[in-house]
Amino acid sequence: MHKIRILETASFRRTIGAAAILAVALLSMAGFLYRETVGYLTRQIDDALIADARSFANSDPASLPARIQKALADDRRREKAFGIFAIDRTRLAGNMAALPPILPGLDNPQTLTLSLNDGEGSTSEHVRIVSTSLKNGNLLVLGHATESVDEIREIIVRALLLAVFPALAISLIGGVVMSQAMLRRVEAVRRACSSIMQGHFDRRLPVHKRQDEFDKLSVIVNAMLDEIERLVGDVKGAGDAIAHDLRTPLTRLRSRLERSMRAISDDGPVKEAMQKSLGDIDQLLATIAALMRIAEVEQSRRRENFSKVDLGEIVTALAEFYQPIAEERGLDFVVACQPAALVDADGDLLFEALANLVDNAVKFTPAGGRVGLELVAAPTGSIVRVWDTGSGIPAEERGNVLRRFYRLDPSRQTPGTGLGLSLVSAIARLHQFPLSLRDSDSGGLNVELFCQVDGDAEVA
Amino acid sequence: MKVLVVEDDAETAEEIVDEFSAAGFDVVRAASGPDGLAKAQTQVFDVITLDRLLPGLDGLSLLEILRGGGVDTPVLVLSALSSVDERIRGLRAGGDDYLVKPFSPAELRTRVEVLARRSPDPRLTILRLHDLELDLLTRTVRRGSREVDLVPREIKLLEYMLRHANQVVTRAMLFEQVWHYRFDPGTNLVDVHLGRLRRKIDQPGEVPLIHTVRGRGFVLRAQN
Repeated sequence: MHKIRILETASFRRTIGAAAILAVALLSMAGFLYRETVGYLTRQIDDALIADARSFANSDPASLPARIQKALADDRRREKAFGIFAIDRTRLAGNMAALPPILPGLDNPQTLTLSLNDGEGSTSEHVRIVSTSLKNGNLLVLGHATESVDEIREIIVRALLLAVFPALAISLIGGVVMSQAMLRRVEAVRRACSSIMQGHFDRRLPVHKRQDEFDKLSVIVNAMLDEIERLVGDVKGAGDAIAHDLRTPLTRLRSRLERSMRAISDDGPVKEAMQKSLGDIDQLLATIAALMRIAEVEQSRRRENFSKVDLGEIVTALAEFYQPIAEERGLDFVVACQPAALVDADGDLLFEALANLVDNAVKFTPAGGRVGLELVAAPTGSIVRVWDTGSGIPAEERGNVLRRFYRLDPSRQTPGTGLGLSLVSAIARLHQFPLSLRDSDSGGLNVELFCQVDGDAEVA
Repeated sequence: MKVLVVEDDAETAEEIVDEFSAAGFDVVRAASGPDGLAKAQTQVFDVITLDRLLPGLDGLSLLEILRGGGVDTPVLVLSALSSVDERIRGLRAGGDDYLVKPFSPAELRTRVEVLARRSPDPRLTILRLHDLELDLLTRTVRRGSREVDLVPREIKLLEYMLRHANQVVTRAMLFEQVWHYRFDPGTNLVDVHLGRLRRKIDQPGEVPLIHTVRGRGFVLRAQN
């Protein structure tokens, strides 16, 4: 299982979708707000203009220039525009430079750009205007600058920018954080699953107190795992129980046979048959002992006998123990030992596992061949390598040889229980030391046990 | 030789008693912890074999009471519990040897024989048998006037055999005592080492010292 990148997570994509919806909602809200505010302000201006225009139109035209002058003088914000024009378009009074190109009536105010004299010069302004006729036939044009409306628009646009970008940014950050939290949980599940797949049937998926949807799923999967563990345990337990129950009667049978044999003085065929039976019983007992040993190793979840172990010492002891045996079988025994860091391990079990590997190499390599035992330092631990020039194990059989009772030689002519590599594998699993089988450069089998310095990093 | 067998399982006890009687031992049996303790405290034995799990009084508690009371008869603890921890606990409580059930009665008998004969003073630095001599200080071995060239492990093997001269030692005992690892490496592997040692010690024309005892193990002695 590979790690899922954040951009690929469902939660991140959902966050992006939510952010887009949020942006659209914010934009339409701002648009509505703008339209309503501008409309309201414009209506206010229009109402004031129309009221003023009516009031001017009903008063004496001769007094108008003076009123306009006063109104302009009072207009500190310079928002107002006035113009009285004669029929021939001549300006009679006011601050409008010229008669506007169109003259909207009182019922239809319009926005135009007009040139206004403010006493110091002329400026161009957006102005809302209305026009009406005076009693003397002249034209009155009243205007009000829309500057405040423009300001409102700017404020709303600015507010929109200030809201949308941070909101999008916050959504994105939130999305990343949420996705990471989600990824962490997925990662925890992934790690638990890979550990379970490695044979740690006692591992369970993490469940938090929150009881969210993840936890509910985990609870279901955990219940499933309980059932699987129980079934696997039943199968194993049946085998172990059979082995255990056979051991005592077989031991008794053996000692009875041995005692009876001692009573027979001559070396006749009866004694020979008894001797053979004794050999068969020993073979059975060896198989049972190996089965029980594997069960014992597999059940010892507590690493009670672990201590700092010097691999160099173990490899040297192994080399010393097997050197004469290899020589006896006409094999060249090659030992190479690099200084290695101490590892956390059960020294006796490790010796037993490695002894099994060397024993196999010595047993399955024909005379004249070579068997190697090497201790190689690696960055995160040490590798113990056992290689030989024997017939090796075909690639497709390598997974099988770690299974109980599996033997490459179907006729079972070679001595052994077919349990040696299962025991090695069980010991390797207990230590969480990866065990690998491959072709040796010299034609036979190459078995490597990678003794990690920190073996329990992944599975606590 | 007088041996006390403290064992609650009737069939196992019978096996042990049969094996010991056949070997000519004088056997006394106790079927429970309190019974075993009473017998061990009131009679003198050469060796006691003690089951680890007993009704009435646990084997290790019994052993502690015995040792506390000054009884130093060699004790061999028998147990179905094979873990290293259990073994250490058994030896720490005052046991002299530890054998995991089920065991071969011959192995038990051999170990009892070895326990009954206290080995020579461990401070001895020169061990001798017939014309074989091992000097532990100089790590040299002589057979008469001939110097025997041994590798360190062979010296250890010979030292153990010399300390238990004239006693049968089993392959399992040799593997435990000389290599200090506790698992069954397969019988013929120890034989290979012993065969090499034998070829160096016993040369043609010399009195053979290392003998194989069929079905049991090996013995170092001057007569056949």
